[in-house]
Amino acid sequence: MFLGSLFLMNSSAMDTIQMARESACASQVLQQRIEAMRIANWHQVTDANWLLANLLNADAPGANQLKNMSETLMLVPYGSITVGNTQLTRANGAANIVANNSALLGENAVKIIWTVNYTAVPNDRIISRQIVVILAKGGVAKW
Amino acid sequence: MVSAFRCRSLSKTQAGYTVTELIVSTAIFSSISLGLLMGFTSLERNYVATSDFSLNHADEMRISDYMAMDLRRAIAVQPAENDTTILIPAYYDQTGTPQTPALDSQGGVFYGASGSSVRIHYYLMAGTIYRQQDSAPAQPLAVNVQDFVFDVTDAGKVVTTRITFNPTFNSSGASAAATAATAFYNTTLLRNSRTDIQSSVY
Amino acid sequence: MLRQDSTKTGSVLVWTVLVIAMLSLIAVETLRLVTVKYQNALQTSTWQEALLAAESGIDLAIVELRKSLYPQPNHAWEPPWGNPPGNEITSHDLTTVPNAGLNGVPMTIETSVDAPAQLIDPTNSWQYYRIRTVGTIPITGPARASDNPQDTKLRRLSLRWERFTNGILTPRLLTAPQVSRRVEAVVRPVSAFDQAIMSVGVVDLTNQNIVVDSYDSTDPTKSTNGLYDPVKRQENGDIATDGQLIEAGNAQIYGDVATNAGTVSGAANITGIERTDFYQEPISLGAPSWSTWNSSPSLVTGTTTINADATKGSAASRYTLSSISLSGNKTLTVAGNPNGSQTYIEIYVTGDISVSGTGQIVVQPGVTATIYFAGNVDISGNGVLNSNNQPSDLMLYGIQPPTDTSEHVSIGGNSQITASVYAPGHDVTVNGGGTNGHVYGSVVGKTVTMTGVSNLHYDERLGATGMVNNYKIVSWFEDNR
Repeated sequence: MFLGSLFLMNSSAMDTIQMARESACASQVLQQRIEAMRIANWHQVTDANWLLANLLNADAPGANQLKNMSETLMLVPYGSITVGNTQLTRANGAANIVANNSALLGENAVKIIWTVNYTAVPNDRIISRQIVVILAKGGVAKW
Repeated sequence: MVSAFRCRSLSKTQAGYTVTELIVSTAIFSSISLGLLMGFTSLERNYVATSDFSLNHADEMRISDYMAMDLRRAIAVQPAENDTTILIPAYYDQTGTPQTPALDSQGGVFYGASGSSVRIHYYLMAGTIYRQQDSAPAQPLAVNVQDFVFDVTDAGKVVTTRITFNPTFNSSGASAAATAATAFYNTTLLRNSRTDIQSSVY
Repeated sequence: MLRQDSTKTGSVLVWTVLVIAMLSLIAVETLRLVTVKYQNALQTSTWQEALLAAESGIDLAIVELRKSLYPQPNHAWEPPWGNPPGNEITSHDLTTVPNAGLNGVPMTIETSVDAPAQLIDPTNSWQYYRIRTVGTIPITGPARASDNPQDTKLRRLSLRWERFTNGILTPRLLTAPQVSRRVEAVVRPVSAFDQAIMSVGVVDLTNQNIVVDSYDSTDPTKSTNGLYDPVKRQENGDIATDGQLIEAGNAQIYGDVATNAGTVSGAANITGIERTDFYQEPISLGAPSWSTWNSSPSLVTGTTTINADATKGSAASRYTLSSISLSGNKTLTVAGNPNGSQTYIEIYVTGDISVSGTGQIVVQPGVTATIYFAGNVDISGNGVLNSNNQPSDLMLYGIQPPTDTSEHVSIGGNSQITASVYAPGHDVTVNGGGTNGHVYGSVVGKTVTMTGVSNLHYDERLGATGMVNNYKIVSWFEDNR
């Protein structure tokens, strides 16, 4: 019984490490994605086709540590009366455009909602992590 | 009467074991003990490796976040493996109070004296990774990290960092794949214009 | 009487229990450590998200600053901001964005913008703005400090106390743990004439082997007597387009070249950087909103003299004309003071500008002329004579034409072209540079074409004059006290 509990504690510790690692990986994926948006210019950030071909065409570095990872990127006009989002998803190594608001280029700012889902320990539960940031035309960016 | 009964009982318990029984029981006991000993040893090693991994992972995150914070506000970067220097604006005065920004003649802004900066040096020495600010005593960010490698790739306005360590779950040492699996990445856009590279577009 | 050797059998049990106890202690400690580190990882995630909140504040401030550049009504600094920033006047905004962090917690963005007097450029009185933001996110989970002091020093988590009160380093008690990150940024105004050539669409240098370089009329090491000197040539003759194509036509470019994921075709040499990630949206210009101006003349069709005034922006310095049309031997003279002292004039042409034949526009010495035009511009003949030989003394601004209309600017003629043209809604063509093919100044257009131009010399002084077209972050610092 003692031995059994020791092995159980060991297993629990390994799971906790893995959870910490996965959480950190998800954070670094999300942070790098947002940073990549800041490295792009406004025209690129608001262009669904550019995002598809240049940002979501590959996993972010470190993403291979997350099992069954899928990403959803949504851009929403911010501080504006206009409606219509741009949404892209990436799963199983492939990305696609779910919705495209080509008028985002004319907006002053967009709210970016980036979601990462992955299968986590223990028991292969689904974890969803989301971050939100507001990007503006001429804001904190490479140019 | 009682002592006779006891003698009779004692003689029953003192009947002893046969050699065969002794050999068999010893053999069983030895094998169980060996199994237990090996189990205990591997458990203990596993616990140590687990603790070590957990500490190293936290060290990785700390180093990565420190470097990212300094890179975001950097005005110059001199990258090298396990030895990187970053210059940041002299935002604070000697008492640690933020200074007032002033304009230079080039359309830029400076804090403190014109042209001044603060030097941040990250380096690995004797198994410890240090962060040293100017000539202040170096602060140890992570100890017992002789196997750490922090790599800094400079692409002008964008700098990427990658930190790895060797996990100790395997007694024969970490494989390249295991080390690569520990990699912690950070991509940072330098928010300030760099003074060490020439570009008018930025 | 034999004695049972009970110690022999009992010792195995004792040793086993001792080993198990030891292992249990190690296991408990390991579990405790990894749990603390897991909590650390979650707190780290929240700490990283707080920076996103802080930087969102900077972006929100820049939205308002850019809005203020547009013609009225531009809705800049409306509530919740409340007031434009000024010297010792802070414009403040507090925004909460729901479902922004770990476990769906909201993020709070607190932004303050002011315009300190020490951030006014003395050369042109341009105001830089300081933006200070605080991004705050609640921490989920137990309020447990890290076991490593370096973590505590880096990630200043507010578990019980917030370190700042109203921006001052004074602790205050919290009801719930949170993390706040603070950033200070300074933004500077960007001139409409920040490059030698900037175009929304194609830039076509039309196989003229043009040389594009720069000088600085205010710096004697980069010019001679305020004029271009080929010996002191500089390499800031930048060309940029929001489009995909620059037809360099065997051009020699002393500067950077930038497209928006496009190509530079046929450049003989580019001394600077060639980049493909450029995008800058030019601010579209509206008609000037003057309350008073000179009532006469209202139209120029013959030889006319209009007078500049010593006071910039005065009613006496402003004219509204329905059109300028000069041909034959007709001249529009923009007259200054006979002694050549500084005077100013602003002319708003609601229609077209046309100069042909031997017609000419003359800007006399000492006059700084700004011409706004709503229609087309066709200047040939004797062209426009800028007597000051400074492109900052003759600025032409094209008012944004209505959607689906096409307007153009064509500048040429026999006079040396020394001017700055900002017309992002117009197709701009520069036809020749007078007798020697040299053009001095800067051109911004919907498309830009150069024909018959051998040299374009960009005056770097233009980067600090003219209309403000944008704001750019020139300083960024995270205050991690």
